[in-house]
Amino acid sequence: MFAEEGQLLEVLKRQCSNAPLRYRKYQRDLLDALAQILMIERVNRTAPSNVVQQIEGKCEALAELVLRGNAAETKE
Amino acid sequence: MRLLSAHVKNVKLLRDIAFEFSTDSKRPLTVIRAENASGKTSLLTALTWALYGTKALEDPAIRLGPAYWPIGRPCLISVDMQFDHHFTSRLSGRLTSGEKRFRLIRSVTETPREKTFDRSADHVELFKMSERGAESLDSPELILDDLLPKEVRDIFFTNGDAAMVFISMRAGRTSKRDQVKDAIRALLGIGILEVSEDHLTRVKSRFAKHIAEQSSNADLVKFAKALEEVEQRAKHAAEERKNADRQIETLSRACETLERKLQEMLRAGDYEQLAEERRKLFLSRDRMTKIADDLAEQHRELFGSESLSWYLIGDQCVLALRELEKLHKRGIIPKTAVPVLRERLDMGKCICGADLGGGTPGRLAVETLLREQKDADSDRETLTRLYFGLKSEVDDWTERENTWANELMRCGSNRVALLKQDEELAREMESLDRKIDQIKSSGIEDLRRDFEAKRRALSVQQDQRNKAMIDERVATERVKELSARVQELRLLDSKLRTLGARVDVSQDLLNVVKETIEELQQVALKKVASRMNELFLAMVGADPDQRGLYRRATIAHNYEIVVETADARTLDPDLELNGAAQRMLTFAFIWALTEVSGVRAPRIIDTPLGMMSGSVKGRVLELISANEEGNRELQVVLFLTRSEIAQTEAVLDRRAGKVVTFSNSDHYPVDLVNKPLVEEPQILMCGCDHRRTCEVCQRRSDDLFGLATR
Repeated sequence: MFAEEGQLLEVLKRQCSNAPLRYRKYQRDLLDALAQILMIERVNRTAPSNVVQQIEGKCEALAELVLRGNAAETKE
Repeated sequence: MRLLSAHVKNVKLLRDIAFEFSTDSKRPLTVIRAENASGKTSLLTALTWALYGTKALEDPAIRLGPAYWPIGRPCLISVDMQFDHHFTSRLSGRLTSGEKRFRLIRSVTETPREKTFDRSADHVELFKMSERGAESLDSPELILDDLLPKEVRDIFFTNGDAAMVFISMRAGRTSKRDQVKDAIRALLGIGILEVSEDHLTRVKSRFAKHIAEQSSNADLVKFAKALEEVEQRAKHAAEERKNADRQIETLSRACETLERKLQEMLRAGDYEQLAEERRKLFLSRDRMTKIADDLAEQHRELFGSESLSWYLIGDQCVLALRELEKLHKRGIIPKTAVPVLRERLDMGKCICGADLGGGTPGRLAVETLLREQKDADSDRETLTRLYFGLKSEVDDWTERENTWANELMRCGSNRVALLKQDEELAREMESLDRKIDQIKSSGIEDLRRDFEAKRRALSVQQDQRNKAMIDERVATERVKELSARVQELRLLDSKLRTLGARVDVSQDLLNVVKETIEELQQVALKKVASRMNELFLAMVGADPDQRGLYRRATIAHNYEIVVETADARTLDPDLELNGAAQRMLTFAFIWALTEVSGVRAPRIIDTPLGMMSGSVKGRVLELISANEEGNRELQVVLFLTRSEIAQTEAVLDRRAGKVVTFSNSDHYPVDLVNKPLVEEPQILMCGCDHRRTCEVCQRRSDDLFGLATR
């Protein structure tokens, strides 16, 4: 991506810190998921693919972490 | 991106030119010194073409190769360049950054024909360079577009004369805004976020739909459906509000401009009043024309009058009268002697008592005298008439000796005075006509109507914004309520926990993306505007002619660049700024944008310092090459003429890491001193910097610039 990714990621990180804390490390994982989604979008620009399906996969993975994280924290 | 080197072959007169760019962050300037028609624009074309391809050429229908290339002979054109690209990414939860080195080779073959030419498709090779060697990359055009998208081409490749697309009057207002908007969006990465927002919205809708499909709870289905509708309503209201905001800003500025134009026109005067003044002036001039006609008639009469004759021959008449008076005194005139002599002959006796009888000598003498008198009689008659005529006329003329001259003087003076008055009235009339034309041409009434229409439209937009704001607020509140309700119902159904979590995380991702876009757009835009203002004021502050004229330069929410004067007027940059200020504003915008975005890319500017005076040039150079933060990748490539360089040498001494000179061999013998050792016309490159000259680049005007011979 042409734009300065460091700065963009800093803004994303700041915004992620405003997201609800669905489990302890949720905000960090949310940022990771976003970084991966942006990577998918970036790759999609040069090599088009079914980007919605790939993003859906990332959301499902993060949702899985939410469910597991909730379960683990409940056990604790 | 940081340029390392370029090797150009057969682009126009750049037959075979290779040079390196400065990569010294303390001396970030690379200067290509070249006079007019010495390869500056060709080099800009070559670099732009290498990175963006044929579509980026100003006119792809114009040949890229040398103009003199023989017809029918293929010409291989190529640019081989190396550059580094800085990257940052998040791997395993950590931000990592680094640099990748690339080599780009773009080539094309052109074959000139009689009137046209054939051009092959571009051949592009992109290599990733590493210690292991050069790795050829697939889809080089797509990668290049990702590294340096076309939207930012005008940010980094600037032609100082022609490419001020952000404020230039050559571009339409909407086009300029789009240019500014696209550049900002590309540099800040907003475009890719907006695409992500759209994709995440679709993903979330799919998850929500699955819930509705799989739930057996009728309430949950009902509320989920309602939630989706209300979310759409909230989104629609937000878009309407933003759209209204943009319209309001545009209309407010339009109203302000129209109001200013109206005021200017009203200062010129009211049309009816001006028309009445003009009518009065016309009548005055009409009266004057009649008076002038009378005076002209009097003038003409003066030249046909008897007094003119007297004026012309008066002196001669006086002399003649004197002579006639002498004749009169001598008794020659009037002719009174003849009747007396005849009477005495009849009487036979003279007045003196002498005998005048027949045959006497006295009688013979008188008879002789009478004969003589008779011969002169017709002359005396004439002289007598003249004597008595002249005597009365000359006496009269002597009394009014200067009448004709005075009349002439009076008549002439009156006519001159009248002429002056008429000229004065004509000037007044011209002035009035100009004012009237101004009103007519600009159409004060049209302007008023336009102004009122804009005011009404503004009022409508304000109402729409208020309504959209209320709708948005209501919908947002309702979304919260419904979300909570859906959440509650979802928790009751354990089957839906997974789908629910997916909706939640997609919503969280969506919120982060939306807020990031908002932050980048608003906060970054403000930062760009603020920095642009600082730089612009610093640049214009160095110009004594413009210092204090401007209060600030800013970027409106609709991406329009505007300048405000010290007396709080808003200026249209493309119409109301001079050339030097326009360039400063363009540089200020480009520099602010790249600084705020943190993007590392070279800024290449052709003839940047035109229209600027010495001190201003130095200040601008200082500002555009300043590297206070020690940015390792700051790189500025300037194409400068000797005139542009003049008085900036000290700045270049400190800031220029690489300087080369281009000379056109065709400029010998007119401009170049030494005959180039080449057969065909081409650009010659030498290593002379801004203070030196050599056998290759020495020009006849070099003495003006105090250059030292190498």
